[in-house]
Amino acid sequence: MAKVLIVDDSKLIRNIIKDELEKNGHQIVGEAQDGRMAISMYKEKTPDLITMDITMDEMDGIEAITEIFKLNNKAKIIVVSALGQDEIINKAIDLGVMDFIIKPFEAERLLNSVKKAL
Amino acid sequence: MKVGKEEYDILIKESFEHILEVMFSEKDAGNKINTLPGLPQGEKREIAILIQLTDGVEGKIILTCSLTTANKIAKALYPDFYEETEDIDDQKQVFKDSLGELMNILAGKIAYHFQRKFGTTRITTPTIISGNKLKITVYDNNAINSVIQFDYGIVDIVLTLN
Repeated sequence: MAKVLIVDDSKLIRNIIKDELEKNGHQIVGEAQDGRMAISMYKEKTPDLITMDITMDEMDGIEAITEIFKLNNKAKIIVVSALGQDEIINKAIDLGVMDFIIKPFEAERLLNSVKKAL
Repeated sequence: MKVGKEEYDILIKESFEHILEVMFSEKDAGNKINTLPGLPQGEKREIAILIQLTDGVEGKIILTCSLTTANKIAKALYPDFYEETEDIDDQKQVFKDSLGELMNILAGKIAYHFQRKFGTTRITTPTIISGNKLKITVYDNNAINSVIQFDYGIVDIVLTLN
């Protein structure tokens, strides 16, 4: 069981991820709707894993990932985004994220990714 | 910058099919999708969702539909919520959120399709315009549109590139 922080500006996507992870025994320690909130919750909740959206107001996912890795370069982050273009995927992978899931996604794709990351 | 109508129609139809298959509940998986030659006369446009394309290519994607269609889409995406919540403000928030996310995913697929032609393109977060008796008209000589009909109703997806 892992402590997970979900970062996405859509409540719909946060609920989908939350339901699937909770059904599989993981604990959701926080939900953030932008990058800035994600950084603050990361410091406070120290999750084992983060699912991170890219396109968000205030601070986007790429900036948030960069900042979180400055706090902990071993942070485990899975990107879950609608922006599946090669350059963006490569940028996230180069930063050190563990996987990049393109929306819309099947539950199995998410669960396999989480399992692998942990 | 030009995009062919036929290419755009295929892209929108395939994207919608994939989104319906993955995101909507199981009973809707067999939902049939048709591309219409144009928006039928009298079809209402009471909701508009706008996403801006930036970087690789500059432009806009605008999805318009009737309030009835938008409600059916939101309820299909969020069935449990609508059954459990009677608070109107919460329902409005979820309505906007689910339509915005649907558009976000659609815009992501459009940006992905055009990455070779135009380079890596970013998308903004969606802006939703809605209101009682609101009439939305899109004017742009360079715009192309694709009109999709499925079980929840008809949606018009307009693409304008600068």
